Amino acid sequence: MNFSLWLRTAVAFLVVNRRTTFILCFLISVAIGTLVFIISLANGISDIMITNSTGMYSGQISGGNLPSRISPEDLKKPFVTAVLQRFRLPATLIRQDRERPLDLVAIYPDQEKAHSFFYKKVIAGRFLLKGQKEILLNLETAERIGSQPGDTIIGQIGDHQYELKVAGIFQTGVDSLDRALAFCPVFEGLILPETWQAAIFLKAGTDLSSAMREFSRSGLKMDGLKPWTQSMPDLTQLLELNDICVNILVFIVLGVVSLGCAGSFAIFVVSRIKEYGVLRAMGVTGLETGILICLQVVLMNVIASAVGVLAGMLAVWSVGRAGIDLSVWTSHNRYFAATALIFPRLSIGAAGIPPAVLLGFCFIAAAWPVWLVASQKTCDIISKG
Amino acid sequence: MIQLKNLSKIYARGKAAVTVLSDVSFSVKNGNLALILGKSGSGKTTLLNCIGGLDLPQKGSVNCFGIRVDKLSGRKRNNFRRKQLGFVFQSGNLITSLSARRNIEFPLILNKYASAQIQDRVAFLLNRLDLEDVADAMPSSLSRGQAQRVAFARGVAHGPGLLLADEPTASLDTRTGLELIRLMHALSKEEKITMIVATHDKEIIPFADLILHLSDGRIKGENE
Repeated sequence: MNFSLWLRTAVAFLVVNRRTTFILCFLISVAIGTLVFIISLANGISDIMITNSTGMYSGQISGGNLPSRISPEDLKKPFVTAVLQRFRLPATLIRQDRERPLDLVAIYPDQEKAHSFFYKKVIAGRFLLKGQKEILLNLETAERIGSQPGDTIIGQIGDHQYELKVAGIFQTGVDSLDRALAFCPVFEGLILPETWQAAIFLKAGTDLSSAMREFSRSGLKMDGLKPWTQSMPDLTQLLELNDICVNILVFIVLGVVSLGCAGSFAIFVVSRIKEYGVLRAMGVTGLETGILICLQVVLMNVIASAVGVLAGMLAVWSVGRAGIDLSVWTSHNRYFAATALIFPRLSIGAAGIPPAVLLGFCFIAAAWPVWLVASQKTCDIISKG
Repeated sequence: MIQLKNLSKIYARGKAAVTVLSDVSFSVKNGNLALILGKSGSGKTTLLNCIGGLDLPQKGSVNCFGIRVDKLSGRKRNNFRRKQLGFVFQSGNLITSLSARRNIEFPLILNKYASAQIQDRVAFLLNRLDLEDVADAMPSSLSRGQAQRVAFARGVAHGPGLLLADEPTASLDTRTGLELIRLMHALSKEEKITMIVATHDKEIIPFADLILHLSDGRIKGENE
């Protein structure tokens, strides 16, 4: 088979029918460009949901009940930006005749402020200060015990009682934080438990699975480390749902575009069917005719896809400079609790999936015109064409 | 030698059967020009299609240079057409997206000729058929006469044993048609190509070695 002959002929067919070629290419490019942008936008939305959910408090990897023999320094790997140490203390908060049992979490406020968004969720008063005997209450608890910033309350932790000044009240929108937790700084005299919790923040672009593998290889024998994908199954599901929706969209849009292209291309082939008949009369086989038609479809799609991907990349780049602020629509959504500024992110999938899917569809689209030519006798094509 | 024996072709049109060719038999010697004369609908095109393996007869045999064309498989018929046959249709039927030169090159590339041979052969045909000035023109910019000459050049480029021409002069004025036939006749004699021309153009008669009168699918007369 003389592939270069068919390639040259396919190019010539497309060039001579440049108006039809241009219209079909334009249609495909617009669809591809739009899908590249939409997938990048979906990537950006997923990124911001992960950032909001992990950056708020837990980090990308959270550790529970870590023994005191392991220090935060032990967990500081090259791919880690910060390890926040926290101590969970079962406590009862007492104010006048009101009591509220909850978990009091002792933290290092300066480190929390440097690496998590949690401090941004203070709705009254202020965030905690390093080493101070003070407390940050969740809104529900503050209402239950009737406390305001500036009040002093008693924190009963085991057999010990501490006088704690209410520094502020927080509300994150995350149920697990808003209902049963209060925070205080690690201060002098506070009796800390044997175990601690870790919030591990990773450098941007670190692969979560490799990070987990690295921790398990470190020989520290930590059973309590969990990636966010395990500790936040709801978020994992949402992201999967996001992916499924985008993939369905890709298939539907490209399916419709391919159907349109198949129709247009079939008309394109039918209008010149006599030429295919002449080729067959010259001894060109059905397979070679099919290859010629498929090459035209593939060439057109490859060129249009390249243009579409470039256009999509350009759109991602231009929108990505300022981001898209969705805060109006996400103000009551905990997955956007800290920020709703979306930065579309181009990925290999975003740039690769639409052209790959379209290539698959374009072969299906080529089948119709190929069948139109192959199903008729050469002499009929020539006489009717 | 091209030899047809008792060739019959019947088409089914709905429930009715239409006999297009009935017991057609004749022979054409190698290098000769056979003319099939007949009115529209007499079966000329069907006869050419059967000889060229574009259609299959229900009865009879088509023997081209010792090959039973009607018995060949689809793949072998393709191969036979590719190597042994050339076609010239009524209105040229050039590949509109290829220039005159590329149209002539096409069967040569299809038959895997070396590029030097292709260049030489194309240059010779362009020169011989006075097409050098329009070698790189697209078919849409050629006159009808030029388009038919390109179609003829394409038909004989790969040196086929047989050239089938279906009404080659029908779209041309008398003078241009005559000029084309003169060129076709001269070149086919030089290259010993057997030609079967279906036409109702009586101007071609002086060039023919064999004249067959086809009417209602039957050979009504044969003159050498």
